[in-house]
Amino acid sequence: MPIPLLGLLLVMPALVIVLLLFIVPLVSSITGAFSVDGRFGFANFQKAFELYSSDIVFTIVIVSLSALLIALLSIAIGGYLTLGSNPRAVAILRWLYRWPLFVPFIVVGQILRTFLAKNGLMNSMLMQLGILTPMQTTSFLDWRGIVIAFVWKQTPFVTLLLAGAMASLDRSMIESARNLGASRLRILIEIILPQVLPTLLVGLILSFVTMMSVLSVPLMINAQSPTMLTASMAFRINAYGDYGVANALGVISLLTTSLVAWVYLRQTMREHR
Amino acid sequence: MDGYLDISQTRVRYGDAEILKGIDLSVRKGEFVALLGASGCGKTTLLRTIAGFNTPTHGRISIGGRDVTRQPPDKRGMALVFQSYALWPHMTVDQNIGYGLKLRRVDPATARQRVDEMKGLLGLQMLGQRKPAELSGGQRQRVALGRALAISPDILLLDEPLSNLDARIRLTVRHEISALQRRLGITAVHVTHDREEAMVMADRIVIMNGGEIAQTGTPQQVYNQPNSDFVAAFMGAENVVEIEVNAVWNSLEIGEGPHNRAALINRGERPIVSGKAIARFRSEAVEMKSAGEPALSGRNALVLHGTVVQVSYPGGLWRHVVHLGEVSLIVDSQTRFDEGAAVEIAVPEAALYIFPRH
Repeated sequence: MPIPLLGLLLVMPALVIVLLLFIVPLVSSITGAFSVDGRFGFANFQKAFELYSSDIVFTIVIVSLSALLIALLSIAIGGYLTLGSNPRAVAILRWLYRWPLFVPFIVVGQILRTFLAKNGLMNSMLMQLGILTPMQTTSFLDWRGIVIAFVWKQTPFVTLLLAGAMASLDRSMIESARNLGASRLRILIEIILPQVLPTLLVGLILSFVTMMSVLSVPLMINAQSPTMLTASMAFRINAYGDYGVANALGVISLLTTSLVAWVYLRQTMREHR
Repeated sequence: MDGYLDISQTRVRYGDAEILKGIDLSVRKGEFVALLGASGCGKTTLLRTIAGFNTPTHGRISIGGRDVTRQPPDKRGMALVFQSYALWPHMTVDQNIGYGLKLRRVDPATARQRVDEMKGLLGLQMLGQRKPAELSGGQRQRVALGRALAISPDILLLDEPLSNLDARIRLTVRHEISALQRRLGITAVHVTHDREEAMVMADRIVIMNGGEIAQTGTPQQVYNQPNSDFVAAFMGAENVVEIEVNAVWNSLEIGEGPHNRAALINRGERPIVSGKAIARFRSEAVEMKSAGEPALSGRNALVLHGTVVQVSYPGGLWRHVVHLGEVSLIVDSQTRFDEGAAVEIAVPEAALYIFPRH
């Protein structure tokens, strides 16, 4: 058998699996979005924007805000792990910060639901400490709850990447800045951060895509409107069997993440040049 | 002590290991001191302790009478040039050199002037907008030096700054750095494992061994009057023979051995040694003759006899490997001796270092 044919035969199983399980469903879902009563049209998108434009904005704002908070927290944690002067505190933080990585989103939703409710653990602790009276308590089970859940779950992931990148920097770069009189904060912002920015960006983009696809957290925490696109899509299918609008919402979600992925690709291309 | 930088009784540990075991060193203002030693001898630890990156468990470090032992690195008025240069890759040459000035809130116009001055001093005028990745090793090294000097430090600390350079560039940079140091009159402490580099650059050499100072002195002193077997070996007296000596007044009698004749030499500055001893000498400091020729005198010289087993020409002199029974020596000579030739080697007393054998 000629070599090129043999090669093709060898990659065939992998190729078939990718085609059947990834490309075909994706294409059918995208074409489904443009199919109205078996014909090509934009009615699904029209309906999606009419009914769910506030959900689209809500989703993008929530995910972007979460990404921003994740960035700040992971810079703070990574910075302390790299520059912290108290070895015990650094060791405790290093041990502690990864735990949420091993908790599934649905469990995060469940934990925070009992924690953030009007009669939840957080408010009862604040009341016991005398900080709040029962009249002042409010439920955090709205957009704030989603943001808290996302940040809680995704910060360790970004921190893991970021702290690794920070740790692999040449230690003497930090020491030379210390030697010239730079404070820890300045070293973090002016010396370390510019060098690990590509890693931070990659972590945030991967988190962005993950958060865009989480259904359990908005369902558990935010049982109201507006909500996130994932919840709207599930509702569209479960309540109405309306695959057309669900597909249209999926395409909108896909375009949002594609935009972010494009930034990621451009970044990695620049790194490898 | 009368020094500018004073280090007394300084001990440093890393975990269980004591790296510095009580260092006493005094550096005068404007002096160039080289810390010389093999890797692991504690020379870099001493430099980092002076810079403030290691805290001693005992002892005291002061600059001009001011105790800085517990002070953070940036309060000591010192600038450290790192072995890896530690330039910040995201900043241009100008930004790297000017960063210390920016931290000191020097106004931008003055800072720019100072950066230009540094670039002029180091021949980096055309490279201000380049990033470190676009520079050669020698240029990076000069940027690191400029960054350290820009803040006008009282003391310049150099941690093997030449070890990452090509051998040829290293020779010129050596002279550039020491010329610059003299011109600026800055006090400098330089860490190196390269003997010749220390000899060429420093006013005074501190030889370290196992966390202690083995000997301190001018290049001539440590080269010509090593005070221990270790220093003699480190300074290039690699040839070793075992002898029996007997100190008589100002002379040393060397008894006849299986490979040497009896000899009588002046004791000079040597410590009094009697009994078993080792003699060290450099390969180029001897006279070699064929065994058949008129015998070399045993007066003021140690005469050894052996057989040439290998000859090579590294340039300038012929290099011979000479066997004295089990002992192997390397001897350089103007004339070539054939392999298998029986030879006599005379080591003049000035080139002979004798230490007790334990």
